[in-house]
Amino acid sequence: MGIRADFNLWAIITSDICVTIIDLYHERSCDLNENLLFFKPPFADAEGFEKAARPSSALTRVFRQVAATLRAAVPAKSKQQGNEGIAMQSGIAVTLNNVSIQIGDFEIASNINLSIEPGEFLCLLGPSGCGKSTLLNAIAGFASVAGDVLVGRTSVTRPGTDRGVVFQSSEALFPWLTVRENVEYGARIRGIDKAKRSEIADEYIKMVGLSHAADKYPGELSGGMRQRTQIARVLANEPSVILMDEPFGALDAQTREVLQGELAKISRKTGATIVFVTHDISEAIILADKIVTMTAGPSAKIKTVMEVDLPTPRDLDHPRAVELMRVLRNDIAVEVNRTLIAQGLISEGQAV
Amino acid sequence: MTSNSIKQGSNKEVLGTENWQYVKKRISGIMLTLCSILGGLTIWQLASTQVSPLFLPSPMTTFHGFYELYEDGTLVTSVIASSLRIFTGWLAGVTIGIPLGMGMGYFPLIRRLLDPYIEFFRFVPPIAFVTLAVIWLGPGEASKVALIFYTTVFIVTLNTLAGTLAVPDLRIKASQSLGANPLQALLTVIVPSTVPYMVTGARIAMGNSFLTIVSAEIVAAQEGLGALIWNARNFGRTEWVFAGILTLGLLGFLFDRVLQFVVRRVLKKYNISM
Repeated sequence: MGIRADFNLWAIITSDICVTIIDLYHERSCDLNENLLFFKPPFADAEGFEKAARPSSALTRVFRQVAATLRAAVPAKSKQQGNEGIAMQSGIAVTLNNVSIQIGDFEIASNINLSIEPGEFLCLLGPSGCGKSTLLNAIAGFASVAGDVLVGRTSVTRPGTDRGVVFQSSEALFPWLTVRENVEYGARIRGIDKAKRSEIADEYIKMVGLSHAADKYPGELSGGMRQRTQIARVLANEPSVILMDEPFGALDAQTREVLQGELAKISRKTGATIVFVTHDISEAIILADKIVTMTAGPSAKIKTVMEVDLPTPRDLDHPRAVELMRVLRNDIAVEVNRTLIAQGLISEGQAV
Repeated sequence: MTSNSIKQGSNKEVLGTENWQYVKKRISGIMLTLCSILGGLTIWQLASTQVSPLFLPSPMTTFHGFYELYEDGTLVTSVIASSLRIFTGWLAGVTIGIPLGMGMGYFPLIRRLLDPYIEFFRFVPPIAFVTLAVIWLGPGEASKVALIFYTTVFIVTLNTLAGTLAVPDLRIKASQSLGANPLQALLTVIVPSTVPYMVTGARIAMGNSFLTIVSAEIVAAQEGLGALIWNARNFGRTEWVFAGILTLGLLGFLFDRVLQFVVRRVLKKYNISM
């Protein structure tokens, strides 16, 4: 017992020394790095993450690895001390507590509070530039935030397999891997043997309807098929939340409609929790259980949260859908006008 | 069933027509190349009749020179000597340049440390180092191989570096979300994303190696294509100079084609356009 406790103390002290060295080093080296910020280091606390979100370099990376390894050796209790209160709320898939996001001197979003239930399909809707993608990045662990982002009971500090991300651009696929190899990637990283991972991949490739193209490379696929591949790749990793950043935004209208229908089916079938960012109101109505609209940035806030209580599959001509569409369009138009007035592009009287 | 087989039949026919179209296109391409070469030879022949063979030997004289050089073994020895130097220096340059470029791209510290040297030396052509190379490494093979290495390593390093910096951020984010740690992301995303840039660098470096080898061999070499061209001057045999130049061009073309073939075979999945 005594030895164990000593070890913990030792580990904490050493990891703190590492963090201090990183800080000292950073003060001098921040300006040296331009676009090489590849990795968020594996810290377990928000403070560490903020530091880590700054540009990294060789030496700091080594120190971070040491610090992270030491932190990992400390039992979970001391690691999670700060979160005990929030961890009580079980049955919530994603919680945002007073989340503010700042990039440079620019505050993108402020004081966002939101909770997403397991199995819920939530759409973040808002005009361009309102910070909805940034918020999604915060949940994914790509952006540093003030406040708490929790997935289940764990505080988000870096990207992780519990949150799968589907990006708008198919650049996110690995072009040198076939569809099957792309879908197998997560399992391969985790060291799952070939037979097992190929079985998993086949299941999800079938689910997105790509069995006939499993051995093709992304370059040989249409835009819609590439997005199907991205979805299968994320599903195959079985994350507790799927984050989708305008995944159908770059597709033609017909393909988009088909994929919306299939995504709705997949989400019902798998019971996945999905956070879906879009600026397309009808897309949100077709897909969402809950629609969250945001005010125009800077310092974007949550404007409204609406439950979508419509029968599935959704019909946009349903009277309540028409009414919802009208309300949402109004909400967003108000925000767009506010931005335009703020930018001096139109005067108060010209508001649409 | 019947409709299906009809469909298949017509498909085959369409494929057949497409194949024939392809063959026709291919043949007309080859014909054009042949015409171009024959045209060049004709102009050369006509021009050579107007001046002394010392100034411009005719294609026939050049061919004869070729034969002479082949007969006494000079041509073969020269080709082998130059090829070996180019290949050794180029391979060493690629082997060092790729990890160097990756390291510079991945670790800003390494980039900062090496940047001044890269920025300085990339403006100093290898020819400027010929004399130094001989003083330091002697007149043997080492000095020539070192110059080829020098030419190659900068081009490959800079291309690999550019490739590392051009890896789409999304791809790295995707790999992180799928569970990759920094080392895994480097090996499974950044390195493969950079492969096309490495190949481009290696290919450009191959061309530059040919530029370098001639100057290196002119200054200090007993054998090699550069030495052959330079020595021909002492005998007043312009046709040997021409033979040397033609051999260089053909050898470079051959090296490039072999590289292309190997890259297409081995790195097929990276879809590199060459």
